[in-house]
Amino acid sequence: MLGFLLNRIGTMLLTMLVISMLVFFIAEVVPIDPARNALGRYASQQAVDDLREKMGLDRPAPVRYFNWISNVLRGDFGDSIHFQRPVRDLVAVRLERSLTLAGLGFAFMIPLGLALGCIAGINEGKPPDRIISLISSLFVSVPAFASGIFLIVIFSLWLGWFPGVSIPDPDASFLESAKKLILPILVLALDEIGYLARMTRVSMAEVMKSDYIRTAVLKGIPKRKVIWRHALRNAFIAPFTAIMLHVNWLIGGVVVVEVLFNYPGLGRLLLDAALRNDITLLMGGTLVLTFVAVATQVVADIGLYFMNPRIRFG
Amino acid sequence: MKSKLLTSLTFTLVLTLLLLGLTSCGPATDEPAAPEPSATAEAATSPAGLPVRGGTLRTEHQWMPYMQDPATDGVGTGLVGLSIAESLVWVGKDLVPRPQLLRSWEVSEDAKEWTLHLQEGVTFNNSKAFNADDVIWNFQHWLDPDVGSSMATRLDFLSPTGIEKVDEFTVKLHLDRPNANLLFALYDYPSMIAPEGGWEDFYSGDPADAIGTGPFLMESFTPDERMVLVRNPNYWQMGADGQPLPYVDKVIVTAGWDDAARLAALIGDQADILAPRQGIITELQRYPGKIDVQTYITGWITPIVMRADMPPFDDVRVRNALKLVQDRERIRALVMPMGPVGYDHLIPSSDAAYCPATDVHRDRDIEQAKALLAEAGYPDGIELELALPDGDFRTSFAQVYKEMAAEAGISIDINILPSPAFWDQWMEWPFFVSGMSGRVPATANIDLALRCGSDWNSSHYCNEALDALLDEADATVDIEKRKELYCQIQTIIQEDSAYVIPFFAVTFGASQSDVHQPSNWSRGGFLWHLTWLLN
Repeated sequence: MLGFLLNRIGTMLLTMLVISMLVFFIAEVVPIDPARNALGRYASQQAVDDLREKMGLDRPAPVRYFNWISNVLRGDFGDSIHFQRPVRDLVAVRLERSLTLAGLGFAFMIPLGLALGCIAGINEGKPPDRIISLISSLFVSVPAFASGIFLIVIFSLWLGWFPGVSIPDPDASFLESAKKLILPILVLALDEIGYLARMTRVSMAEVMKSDYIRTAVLKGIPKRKVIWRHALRNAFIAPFTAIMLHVNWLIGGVVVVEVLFNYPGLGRLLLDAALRNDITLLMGGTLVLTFVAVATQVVADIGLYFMNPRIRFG
Repeated sequence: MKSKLLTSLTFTLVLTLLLLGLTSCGPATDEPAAPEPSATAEAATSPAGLPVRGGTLRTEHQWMPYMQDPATDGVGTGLVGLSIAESLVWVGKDLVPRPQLLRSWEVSEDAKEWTLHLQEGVTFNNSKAFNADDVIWNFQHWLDPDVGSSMATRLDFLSPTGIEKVDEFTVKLHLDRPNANLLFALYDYPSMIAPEGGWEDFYSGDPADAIGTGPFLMESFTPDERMVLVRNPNYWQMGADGQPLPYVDKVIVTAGWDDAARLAALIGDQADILAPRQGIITELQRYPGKIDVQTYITGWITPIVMRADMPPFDDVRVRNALKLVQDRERIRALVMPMGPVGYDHLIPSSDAAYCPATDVHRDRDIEQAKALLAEAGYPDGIELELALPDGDFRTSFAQVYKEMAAEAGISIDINILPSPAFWDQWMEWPFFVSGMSGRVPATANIDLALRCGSDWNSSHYCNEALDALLDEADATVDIEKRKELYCQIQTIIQEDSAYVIPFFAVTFGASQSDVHQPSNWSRGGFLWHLTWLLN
């Protein structure tokens, strides 16, 4: 167990190191002068040169990388060029937002996706399966920006049930804040539920056909108990991996949803940073995202370790 | 066999239901199921006609501010900050400067000496009293080249040595060259008045850092997200009811929304007032009892610009040929239907510098364009590449122009770039679609864009005669004489400059009908302290 854990963490650290070098290298190659960017169009060239010196931009790349990475390890991601405030503070706030949205999205879609997939898998070939498969295919095929706009038009403009803009308001009541998040979560979830349901369905259908399930049924164990005690545990291995892979996407890749609903999350922050040539923020944010991605993989591996005895003993 | 039939039946049934659903739910035309409007269209004031106090104004702003020193703002994010820290004067829709932190002013005959009288009894929100020392400090700060403020360009007729303190509430300015339009320069987004010594970090988020004399105090600020302003209880200006302004208690500004969100927010009562873009105006106009839409013609232009210092555009015949291919009315109808037609000079007809007598409305003339090109050495036409930033109507403008120009043998290759990439080198493109916000007076824009070597001269146009006329106009205080000079200036721009301007772009404002706005709007609607809510 300990060996396994150390192994995984070691791999994670190595991945982070390589990614950090990649990110830094890409930032190097991009032809933008951070000092000019910071001071704006009207500043004199002298002021820009002075700032370049202060920012240490005239030192060779490996030295700068070293400084940057040692700062990062101490928790200092530098200052955003555009906002002129610590990257860490900006990213922390946005990360919390994205995690909230992702967390709520997960809480909504995992039970539903798994449940739908199970029902479909158990009744393979029969009407419930057909209907669920059709609906999940539909959900999967409609892209997030399209379903988002449909939902805004239907629920916000025509029905007026939910607000079309989801900017968090610290003064609002819990109910109001909850109402704001329903539409974005729905857009996120619809995409995912379809995908998860299909994966679970396949996994479940396969498990139901396996020998040990047939043995259990033949032994006389009631069907419900067979499913709960034996089938589910094995059927959930594949969907679990899928869910874990999706965590990364949910936290950083939901830019479409964040832009549509004006939700100030991490994806939006990085998009704006890219559009504004804010290199420091981009680098810091990307590193954080990568860390989340790699860390969830480690968590997934540990989870699988416990779920799948073959990993434990094989 | 049976299950196959069942499958196909289910499939067809679901599909039919879906299609039926889609066809019956048409777009919202006559009966939008929007929430009931709370107030009727007529009463935009309370029964007594007096302002109503209280309430929270909710709005959004395209770009949230972030500058530590608003004087260095070059993008206009700081418009919001003018509610916290004021400028010396303010200019309404009628383009007349009015007192704000300046109580009154005098200008000498030759327009070289300005005497500014400050308001007395005004305090900053950190209890410091406002006086001449603050004003002088601000002028010095704006003119300091190390600061990098665009105010230095706007005030380039003033040197730091020309600023004189007469007494605690009087400042005298001795200009290097005459300028009768000084006041208009003191009213732009970088001209917020800081206390002597300046701000450390205006938008730090700590209310104590946002020091100003304005009607609102900063309550909270989250970068790129949200800013909350609350009433300044010690504000020095009084409202129509004899009590200190502002009328509303709170203003919540959130970071820019896209058009769909703006539409949803106005219809769904999430916002009280905002500035929508052209795309959703027709939709907003479908709610006449609930949403008021206003149109502002501010002199904002999105010209096609040519580099007058580079071939082929250094030949005035080529420049005029490119102007002659425009069917202005058609371009306007397709690209900016609510804006006025433009005739290649950048002076709106509402501006004091506009000269109707010499404004030539040149029609489309393909033959003449071809002839001019042939004369200039391009008998078989010419190939050009047009660069432009993405987003909004510039793309359709470029498309329409390209097709019109093709008939004269001018083949244009359109190159759309992401906004930051385009604006990063906007002074270098040879042939591009630019943008310039309207300024009052229009001569301010002419100064910024057409004087030899000026900072924003993206066409690199240089005409000594024009510069001389501009200098003379600046120095002339007599209105009639100045008008004559403006006529000459307008003609030069129309006949000789490197701009193709078929329309003036329009900005819009939209508000709930229970929001009372001041009749004298300016700055696209940031006079929140003069706005009140009816419920």
